[in-house]
Amino acid sequence: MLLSCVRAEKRKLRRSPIWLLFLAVPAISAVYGTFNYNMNRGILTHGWYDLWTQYTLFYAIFFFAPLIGVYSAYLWRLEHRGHNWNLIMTAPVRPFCLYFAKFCAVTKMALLTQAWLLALFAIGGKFGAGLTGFPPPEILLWLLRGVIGGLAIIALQLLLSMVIRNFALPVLIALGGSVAGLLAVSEGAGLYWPYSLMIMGMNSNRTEDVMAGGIWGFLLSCSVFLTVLLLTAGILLTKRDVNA
Amino acid sequence: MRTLYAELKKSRRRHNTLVAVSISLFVLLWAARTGGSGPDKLSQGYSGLFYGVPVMNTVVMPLGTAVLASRLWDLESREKSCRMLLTLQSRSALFLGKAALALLQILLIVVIESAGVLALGRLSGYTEALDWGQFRWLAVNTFAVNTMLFFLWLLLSIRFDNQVPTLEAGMVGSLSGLFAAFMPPMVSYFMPWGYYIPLSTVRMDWNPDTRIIRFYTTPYPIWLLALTAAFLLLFAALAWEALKRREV
Repeated sequence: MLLSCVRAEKRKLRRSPIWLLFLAVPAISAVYGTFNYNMNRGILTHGWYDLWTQYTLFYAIFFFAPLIGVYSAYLWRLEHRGHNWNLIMTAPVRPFCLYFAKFCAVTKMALLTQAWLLALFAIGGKFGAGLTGFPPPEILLWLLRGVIGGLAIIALQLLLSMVIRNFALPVLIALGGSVAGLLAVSEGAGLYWPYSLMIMGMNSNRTEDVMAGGIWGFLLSCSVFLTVLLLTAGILLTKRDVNA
Repeated sequence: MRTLYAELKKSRRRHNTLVAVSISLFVLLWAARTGGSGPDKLSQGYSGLFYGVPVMNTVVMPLGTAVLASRLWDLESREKSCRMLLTLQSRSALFLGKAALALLQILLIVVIESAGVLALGRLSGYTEALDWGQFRWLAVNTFAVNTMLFFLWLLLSIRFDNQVPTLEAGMVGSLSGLFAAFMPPMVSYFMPWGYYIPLSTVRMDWNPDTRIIRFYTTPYPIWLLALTAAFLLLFAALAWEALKRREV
């Protein structure tokens, strides 16, 4: 059942306009990151690590969550149109499978977005910034941690887009959540706010690892948020339904 | 007035006012947490806000105004109500009704943001005297750029019907506008969605040796405000053309 739902979500993403955003957001960050790195070589002396902060600072803080917001809202938007909601709720699949299939689809999109960013980072670093060698292996770990931190955002945005029958509003909430996430990180309360987890995971504003020694707290926080959000979605879909 | 009343009725229970309020609250929340409390910070408090708020506006407003435009038009496109609506009212009345409602929402955003700047100054105990000229300039240019962007996003909403391109353009606008602020000034003039920053007259000088920040002002860029107004009229005219040519 779940696999059929995942396949259906995959089809919805084919030739979808959200691929434009998928390409554009990391690409703009890459152009800016390379340019700013080249302009400030005098003070940016840590090579690939400094380039990483230039690439991911604004991307992770302000734009990853709204990007996930657009992916999520797009997938639910189709269900909220016309009588599609009644149609899917009477389909011979468990309602939670519908949500979880979208979760898998958006997670895949998030992984691809991170991979696209990594590709741009390697190309931009090598040819744009003229750095020697290859990106350090920690970068891969930070990207992966970004996705793990992003799982809570994905679950939350899918939940919001499921209950709010409007495409734009969940995206705005994601932006507000990101601003609050930045403030939570600066106050040292990042582990208690889902939108902060991705910012922390990506290590986007420091050249040294901000989570050295604190990875278990991060993983625990991600797991708690994810479990609570998935359970909430499951309960809403099976017990209460969404007013469509 | 009647059309505006109809638009207000359509917006009932859609919490559009709440959306407008939250857009300005995002900026104020952010501004409130970035100010400092040392004597040096307090003596330049308002200057810091006049420098910081346009940067925050560049991140929040392009997406915020895209949400406003998208929600206003989504109301019609979602239920395909244009066909019926346009047999009951003229296209100009529909356009003017939506524009008037949007202007009210944008005005609300600017009023809350301006009131928030004053409140932040009072609550934080800024020792710097408030420059009312800068205060009014910030309000006027925020209103002008927001309105310009609203018409640009409304054009996209009407043109594509699907709300995805509008939101995508809003996001790309936020991102590229923010980045333009850190590039040579000439780059930012080619990105109207980031005009909040070049329109600001407060500049920052950071001394890397002493780590002291000093703010200073530059003359009001009246020509850029006039260019913003010209873009506003252009986008409004294009949005109206798109509605006029719309097949129902």
